[in-house]
Amino acid sequence: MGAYLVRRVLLAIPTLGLVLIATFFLVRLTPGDPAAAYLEEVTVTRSQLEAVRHQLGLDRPVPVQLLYYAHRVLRGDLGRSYFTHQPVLAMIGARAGFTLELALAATVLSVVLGVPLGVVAASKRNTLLDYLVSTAAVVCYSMPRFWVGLLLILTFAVRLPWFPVIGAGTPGNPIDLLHHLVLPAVAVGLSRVALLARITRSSVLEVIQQGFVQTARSKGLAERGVLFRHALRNALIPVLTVLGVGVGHLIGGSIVVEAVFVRTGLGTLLVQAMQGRDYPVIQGTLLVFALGIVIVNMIVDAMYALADPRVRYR
Amino acid sequence: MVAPPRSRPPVLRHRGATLGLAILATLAVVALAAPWLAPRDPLAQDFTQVLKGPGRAHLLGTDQLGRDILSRLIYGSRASLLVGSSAVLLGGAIGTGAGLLGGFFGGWVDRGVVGAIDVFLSFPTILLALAFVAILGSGLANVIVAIGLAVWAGVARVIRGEAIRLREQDFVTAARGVGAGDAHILRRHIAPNVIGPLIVVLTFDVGTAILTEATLGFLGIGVPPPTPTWGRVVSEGRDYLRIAPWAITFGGLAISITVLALNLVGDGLRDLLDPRLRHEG
Repeated sequence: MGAYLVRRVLLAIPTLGLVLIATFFLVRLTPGDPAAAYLEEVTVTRSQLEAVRHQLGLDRPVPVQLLYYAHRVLRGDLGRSYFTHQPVLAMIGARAGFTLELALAATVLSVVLGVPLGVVAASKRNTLLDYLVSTAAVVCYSMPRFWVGLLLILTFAVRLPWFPVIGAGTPGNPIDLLHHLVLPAVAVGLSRVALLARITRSSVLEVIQQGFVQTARSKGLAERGVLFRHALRNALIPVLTVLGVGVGHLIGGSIVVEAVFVRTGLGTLLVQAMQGRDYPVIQGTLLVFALGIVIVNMIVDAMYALADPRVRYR
Repeated sequence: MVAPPRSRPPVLRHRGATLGLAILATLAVVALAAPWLAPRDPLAQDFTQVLKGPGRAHLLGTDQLGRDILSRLIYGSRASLLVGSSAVLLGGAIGTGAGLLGGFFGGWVDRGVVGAIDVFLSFPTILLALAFVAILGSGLANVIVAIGLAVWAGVARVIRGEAIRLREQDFVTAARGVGAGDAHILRRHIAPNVIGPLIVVLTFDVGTAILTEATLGFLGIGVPPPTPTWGRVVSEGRDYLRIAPWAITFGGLAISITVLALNLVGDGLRDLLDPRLRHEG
């Protein structure tokens, strides 16, 4: 297990290296002079521009700039925003919590609803219930998250004033935070609920036909015991994979849903930075998103290796 | 004498896929015939008709500038379908090329392809699309390229797997035995056999591309105004959610129904063309 984990961590390094290079070139490839953008003034003198170019390191050869950039990033220096002139890392730190709690809540929701729905659909195969779950799954999977979010606001915040319309709640007040989290979490998680229900259903159906389940049944074990003690445990392995792959998508979904609910998370930060062409912030946010996704994927792989020993020897 | 039963094309035996195909065919007609079908100019503002609910004059109501939402949605289908299909053609071409080369040649080519696939697949499509739009800038062509670059890796993974499987088949060994070169084998024996799975994965990807385009439009960084897009109809409607919920409702319905149709057709095609994939998501 230890060796597997070390190998997995080593494999993540080239990915992060590529992301680092990609975010570096993100600014280099973009039309316009970053130094001019930094000064954000319409008329600047040549000497002013040269000074800023020197300050930002833009007058050095590209490979040197790349090394300089990598060195800065590794020290945790993501630069400063062109507009607020705040350190990017501090801006990210202030917002990351909101995105993290949203992605986490959506993950919990998708497991708590999706897995049982899939098991129920599989155990009542070809009944109206199974048909309903499967149909609902395809429909939910086809709806854009921002639309789900707006419909939730319209229904459960405007028509029925049960939940707040926008914002992330007062920090330090867990009940208020949770209250603000419900609708966004449903908006992000709904399509994952659908997908997990579908995967669980087909995975359970596959396992149910295997020998050891037949044996358990022929021993006279109640159907409930067969389903939960024998079938589900084995059926969960593909579910775990989908869950792992899905974490990235949940983070992607959070970007959009934050915009709908005006939560000041990383997604909102990224979108605002893109609208204002604030490149250091775009670079930094993308890097942090990438790092987060790589770490989560690593954790999921480790869990996967724990659940299925065969994985470690592949 | 009884007439022999006419057999339907196999994909039409799948009820969901039939429904999906019917929806897509209708949409294609709507997009092509937009100038004749749209009751009004989608850009014409009418300040006497601002935020009117659905009614006889405006079937789906009007927006904050008095523009007819039905006409905007009809014209919006053009942007969605154009971006969806072009982006997937681009992503499909890159993905098929990379997947075939990696799977067929193996070795360092394959290692490079797999590395790139892994990096791309570990990020959500919308994040990749956002990053590429940040590099390329907005605009119709750039949005197409950005989404194409965001979806190619999924195609490449499927095609690479197929190429590896086919490479070991007897007919490939036989072709090699009679002296066929790599290029000939790839073109004549491998490529034609990946078309089934390719069509399946591309169908789902058009749905993903349309969702991504709509999301970019909603975030205000997609196809620039004044081109009406479904994402923008929803985005502009959100500020008037309380007093005029029809804009977001119909705009979102248009997106959802289209993506649903593509998913239904994709499910049907998968069952038909690629039974081995039947149990995957």
